[in-house]
Amino acid sequence: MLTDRLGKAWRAQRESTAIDSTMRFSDKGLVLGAGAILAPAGESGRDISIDELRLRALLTAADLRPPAATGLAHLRKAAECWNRGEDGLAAMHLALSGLGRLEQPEQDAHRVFLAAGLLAAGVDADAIIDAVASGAPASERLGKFSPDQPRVAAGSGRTSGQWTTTGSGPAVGSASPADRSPVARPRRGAAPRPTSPDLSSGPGEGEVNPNTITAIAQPYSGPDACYRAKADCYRNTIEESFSHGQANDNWNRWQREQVLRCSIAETVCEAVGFVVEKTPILRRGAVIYPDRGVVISEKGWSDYLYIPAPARGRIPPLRRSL
Amino acid sequence: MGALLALALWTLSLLNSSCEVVKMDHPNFPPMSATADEKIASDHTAFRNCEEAVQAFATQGKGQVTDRQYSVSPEWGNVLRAKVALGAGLASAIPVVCWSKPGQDAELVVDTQGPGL
Repeated sequence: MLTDRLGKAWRAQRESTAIDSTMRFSDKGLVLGAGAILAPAGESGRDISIDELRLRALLTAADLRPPAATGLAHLRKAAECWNRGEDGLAAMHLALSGLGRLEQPEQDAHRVFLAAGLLAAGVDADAIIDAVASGAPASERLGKFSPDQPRVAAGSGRTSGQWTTTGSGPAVGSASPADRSPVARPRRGAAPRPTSPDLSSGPGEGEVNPNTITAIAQPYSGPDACYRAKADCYRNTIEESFSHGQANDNWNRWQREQVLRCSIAETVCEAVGFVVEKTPILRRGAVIYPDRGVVISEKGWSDYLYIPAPARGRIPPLRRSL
Repeated sequence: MGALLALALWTLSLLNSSCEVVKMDHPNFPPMSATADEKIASDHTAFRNCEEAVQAFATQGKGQVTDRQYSVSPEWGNVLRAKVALGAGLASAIPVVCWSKPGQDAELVVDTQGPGL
């Protein structure tokens, strides 16, 4: 049975593969979780092609909600940047997408793996999205697909022969994924992101609204605070660039360097957290990000505390005399 | 519980410093450069905690500690300022400030705002 095969495959995969709790590019493509390929790369490792339906299904399985259109647009841009060799900008767009962050890495990665396996077995992407949206535990729902399920009929307008959640015909996929209503199911355990502008609405796909004003900072506590701080750092970099009008070479260079600094800050942040935990005489550590966000780690705490950068123009720079 | 309370208080003080202009002259970690009321310390034995903390950070980042400056601040206690050269594409080192008061564990802040690339 397909479920059993996928279960065995998952156990084998876990023995050999560590879990990435965020998306990253590899020579195999855009990957997430235990090596699940969201978008495959060609032989060069750079020519990533995005199959939007596949991507939607896998991200829905990962996040327990359909991905926002702006998030997908950022992923497309990320792939474009990666294909051009602009790794920093690719990483920035990955972070800005706000998608595919595994808050419960083991369970979330398992769902993504199951969904990828189901797609490979011919299950329709829309059926997977519907299965996740239906309300019962997602892994169970994904595991319930079987070759005995009804398939899409030929001539229905969709790829025939694929498994679907209902009888033959276009019942499930008669509306395009873009036409679907968002699944009204909040991601479990997810804390709100009060500091970030809402990227799910904006002037156009994939573009951060240049008129967006950074919200008043609110602290966030969680194991992914370093990552969130980096994502906000990226976002603030873009807003800062927009605030200075037309792009020019200097600003493009500054933006690239700032993106790299944001990325380095995340690495430093994780390192400081590790050092605080492992060094007996060190009780607390903080990292000031390039956008002036601060992440604090405290001995004995698994979570970091992130204090976002204050809104632009509210205060003078923290750093005055370096 | 005590640690939770301490963190909450520290957080609140940081928030205040982030939102009020007047508090920015007194950020809740020592400034990256010594202030006028700090005295250069020639005896470094009291900085052992900070030496160890900064070295641990540098080791974790496979970097080297340079430009150590030892001072005693009436506000922060023993303050060790240093730079850590992490490599990894950075042309210049990252400033690190560690401080500790007598009988207390050290605290550390790393500023990534301005490393040269």
